[in-house]
Amino acid sequence: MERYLEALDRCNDLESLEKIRIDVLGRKGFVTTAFEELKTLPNEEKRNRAKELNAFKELFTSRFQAKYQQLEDARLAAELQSQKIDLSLYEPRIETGGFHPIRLTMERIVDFFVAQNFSVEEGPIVENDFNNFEALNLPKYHPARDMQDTFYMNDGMLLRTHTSSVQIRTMLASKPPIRMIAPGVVCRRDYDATHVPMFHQVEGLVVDEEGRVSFAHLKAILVDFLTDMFEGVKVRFRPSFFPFTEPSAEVDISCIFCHGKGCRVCKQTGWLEVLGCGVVDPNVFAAVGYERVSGYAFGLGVERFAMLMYRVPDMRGFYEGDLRLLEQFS
Amino acid sequence: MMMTRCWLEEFVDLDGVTLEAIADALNRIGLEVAGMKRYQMPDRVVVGHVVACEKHPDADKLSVTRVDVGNEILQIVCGAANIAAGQRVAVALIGAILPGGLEIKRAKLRGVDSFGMICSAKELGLPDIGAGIMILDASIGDVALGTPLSAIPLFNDETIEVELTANRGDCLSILGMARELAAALDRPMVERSSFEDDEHSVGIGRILHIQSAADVTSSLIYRAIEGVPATLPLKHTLRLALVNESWRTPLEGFLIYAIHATGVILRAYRRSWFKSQDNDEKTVITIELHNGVDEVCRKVGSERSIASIIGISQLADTYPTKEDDVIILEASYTNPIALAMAQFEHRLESDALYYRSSRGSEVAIESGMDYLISDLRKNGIKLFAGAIKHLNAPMPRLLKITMSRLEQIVGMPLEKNSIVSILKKLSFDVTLSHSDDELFIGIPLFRHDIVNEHDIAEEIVRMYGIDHIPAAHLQCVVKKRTSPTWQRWQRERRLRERAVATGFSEAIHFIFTDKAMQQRYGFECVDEKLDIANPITAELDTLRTTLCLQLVDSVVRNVKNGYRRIALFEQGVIYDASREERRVVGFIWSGALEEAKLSNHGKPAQITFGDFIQKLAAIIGHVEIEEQRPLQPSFFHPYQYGLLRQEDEAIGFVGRLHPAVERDQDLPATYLAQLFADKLYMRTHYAQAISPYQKVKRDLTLITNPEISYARLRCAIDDVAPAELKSFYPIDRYQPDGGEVALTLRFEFQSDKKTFEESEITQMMQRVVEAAASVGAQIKS
Repeated sequence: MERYLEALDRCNDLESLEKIRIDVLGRKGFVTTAFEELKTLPNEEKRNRAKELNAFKELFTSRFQAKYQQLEDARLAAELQSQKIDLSLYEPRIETGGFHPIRLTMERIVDFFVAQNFSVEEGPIVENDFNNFEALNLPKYHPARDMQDTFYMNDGMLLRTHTSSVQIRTMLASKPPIRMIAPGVVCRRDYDATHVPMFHQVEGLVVDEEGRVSFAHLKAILVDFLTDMFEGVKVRFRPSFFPFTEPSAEVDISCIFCHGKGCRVCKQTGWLEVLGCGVVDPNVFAAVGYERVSGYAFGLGVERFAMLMYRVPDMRGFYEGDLRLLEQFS
Repeated sequence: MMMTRCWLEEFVDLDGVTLEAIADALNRIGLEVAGMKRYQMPDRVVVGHVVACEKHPDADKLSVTRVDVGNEILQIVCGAANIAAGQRVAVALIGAILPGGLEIKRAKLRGVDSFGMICSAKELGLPDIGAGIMILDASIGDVALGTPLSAIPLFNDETIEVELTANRGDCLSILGMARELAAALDRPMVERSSFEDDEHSVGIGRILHIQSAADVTSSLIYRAIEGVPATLPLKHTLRLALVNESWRTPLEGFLIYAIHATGVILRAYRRSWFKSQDNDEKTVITIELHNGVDEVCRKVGSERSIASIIGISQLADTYPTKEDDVIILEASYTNPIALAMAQFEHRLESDALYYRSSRGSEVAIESGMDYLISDLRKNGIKLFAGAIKHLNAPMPRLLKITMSRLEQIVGMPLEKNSIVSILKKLSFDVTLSHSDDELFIGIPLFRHDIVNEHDIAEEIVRMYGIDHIPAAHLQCVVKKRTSPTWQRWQRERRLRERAVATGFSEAIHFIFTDKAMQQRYGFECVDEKLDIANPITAELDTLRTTLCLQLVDSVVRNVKNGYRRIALFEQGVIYDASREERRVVGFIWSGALEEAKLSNHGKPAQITFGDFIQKLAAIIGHVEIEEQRPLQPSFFHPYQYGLLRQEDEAIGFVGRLHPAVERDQDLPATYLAQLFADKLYMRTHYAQAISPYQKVKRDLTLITNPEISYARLRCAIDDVAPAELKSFYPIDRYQPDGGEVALTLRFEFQSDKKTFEESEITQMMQRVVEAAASVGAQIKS
């Protein structure tokens, strides 16, 4: 019996361990054979021998278990070791595409206003004069039409110069109260280092009963909006003029590059102009046949926001499918 | 609108107000400052008198001068052509450092000593006012020789540029700006004395008769002068240069100067143009209303010639010349809206002054005429006494407003007293009513832009300061606002997210493109009658009818930038021949399928048709392909092009770029697809019951002729397929030596009622084999 225990101690691999187990506990093993021989022994001796054998079996089994665990642990450790790889080789190469910063910006803007219970509306890019100009208090002879170089079509239609035309369409198609934004493409006949003939705007319009919507309300929503888009900025309103709003204002944020100290981007003013807004001019409501209502409207250029939000230095790459720009937005 | 501080000070008291404070005030009241500039004369530049001027002995172009600078007389060599004895000039003394950095030192020019430099305006950092040195004439005032230029305000002025909005025609002058500043800074306007004629002058009535029709709408004042000024004084020249105004003749310089100062439309005519041969003593000018505008005419017999259309244009032939002895001056005002409407309706050609007159020029035309003629008289021009006036001053307009309405527009309680005081500062007449809420407001004539209570609210907002208006959240009606546009927006966003995850980058291109290019490749074009009338360039002369051309262009640019795997998509609009707008999404993949990496040993495979379709399916789900000949055979590969269908509806096309185009553009294999956005994701999907029984799969290899398309085989099997055949698809294709094709298909059977017996499967497979045989595909022996 000692012999088996010594063999167990000396054993170094799972294979010979199994052999020892069979030698001791197998069908023809030592313990099985010894128990079978018991019946040939007299009673007293039988009892002692059985006791001895049981004790041995127990001792062997527990030593075997311990040895087995030890050898199995070692085997597993060796196996795992053999599967070691250099993880640092597997940093992925990005194979997803990139979003367009203009669309990302537009989505952020739309998400903000949808969360304020605005609806999203749209209209065609090829527009008529009424929706783009006349109804917006810009009669044909109005000198302010100079502000917007317009593409005309051979049949007298035009390419909308602002998404404000969607205001008119929406008002004509529905009844107040209205709370809408209109994201979309607009075109102006201007092409140089700082102008492109097609760009994107988001227009907003709120219409409610007469006397309910004021300049103060416009101020609140735009301050909320701009501080949501550009964290930590200050917002400034400057009186201005748009034919379709009155009173009108242009809205600036404190320069996100120099924090208002003055730099090249903000032309040393510390402020960046980001949108135009105002209380809807009564002539606009008259044009769509609305009576006894009040409202505010605002409009912004998405390209400008994209350049500020994502620090895109110039517009040139925006319309050329330039992967050098796009892959930065994957 | 450009102005200078000194010029403003002729109209408003700005004593002690800094340039920054002026700019702040303007910005605050809605007059956006676009730029400011300070001019500062360098030290040691003084007024000198050229006492002698002789030719340089050794240089043709140089003069040797002796210049009295007050305490000494200096010898200075000067290269300017316009130098002459007797002039007063700006002398940079030794030690002066000019704005360009030039330090004046004692010098020897061609052997002659020079002790300073006589300067041009440009050399002193002033605007360029013409070749040669700056001659200091009487307009700089009575200053002693040796006076530093830094002590003369004209040379040390400050300019402010304001970007005016189209409604503020009244601010297109120094006077208009001064009025705004007076209100914003609470400063008094400078009293200007009215013009008094000289006692001994000949009366204008002796030489001129104005015959104006009763229906003439403009206000007009005519005066006459003798001869034209020979030169424009330095003060005028310099100020006009500071405010970017140009002029051709000295008289025109005086006119533009007075227009810029007062905002009144001023014109000058030569009297001789109006003279008929037989009437030499007295000239008759006829003014008549025609087509909604007033015309200044010469009438000789039945012949009628137009000298000018008031507020719009003037015949060049009537401009005064140096030879003219009598010049007629005209100040005018016409209602800007009537003017703009008539100009638009009759397509009248307009000149530079129309910019002012159509935005509303100054109504107080006497002020403009007085400014001009007193200026001319001061500069030695003889005037005829008196003026001929045809005044049609607009009626003062009265507006009734209520405090409660103003408060509703602005959105805060307003103090009546402060409203009255703001309006009064802006020259409005305010009358209180017996009702506490009401105000009667008389609108100053120069404020064409004020017509309703919103305009008054705007005045209050800008003068009160938007900063003082509290932000207040609107209590609004919350209602369902999930518009169809919003739903589409959501669908498109999901599609874009999938496209990006699949490897495509998002492009945006102009909706314009090159018509010739579209035509060359056989794409349809927007009907000429509906196309762009005024394109900005030849390359952007039509609305696009496809995304494909621009996607290919972008791929080409990226290849040039060194990219080997280029995948782009664009969601946008295209047009058809009848200019209907259609939302589409286009995809393009060119070159490598993957980036170079360990798993492909640095040699990524090139994209194939199968890979491209797989990418599309990852974005839009299952599609069927119907092989077709492309409509643009020179743009797409003739044998790798097809329609895409989803649930039996055509959703777009897919194809490979024609290899000839690939070669021309230096592109690797390139695949494109263009889908109609409104056809995608429109269906609602309902869940199917899940069968508790296992799927059984069987593979079958068929030997077919390569001419037999898989689509035919698929149709034949579909026709006989039992409901339990859930799907089948090709998993292997083997074609040794271009001969017959061995095509292995996998079939998946599943019942929702039971587990199949082997015999049932054999039976179903037998039907498949028979169907295959019917189109010539034999089971592999």
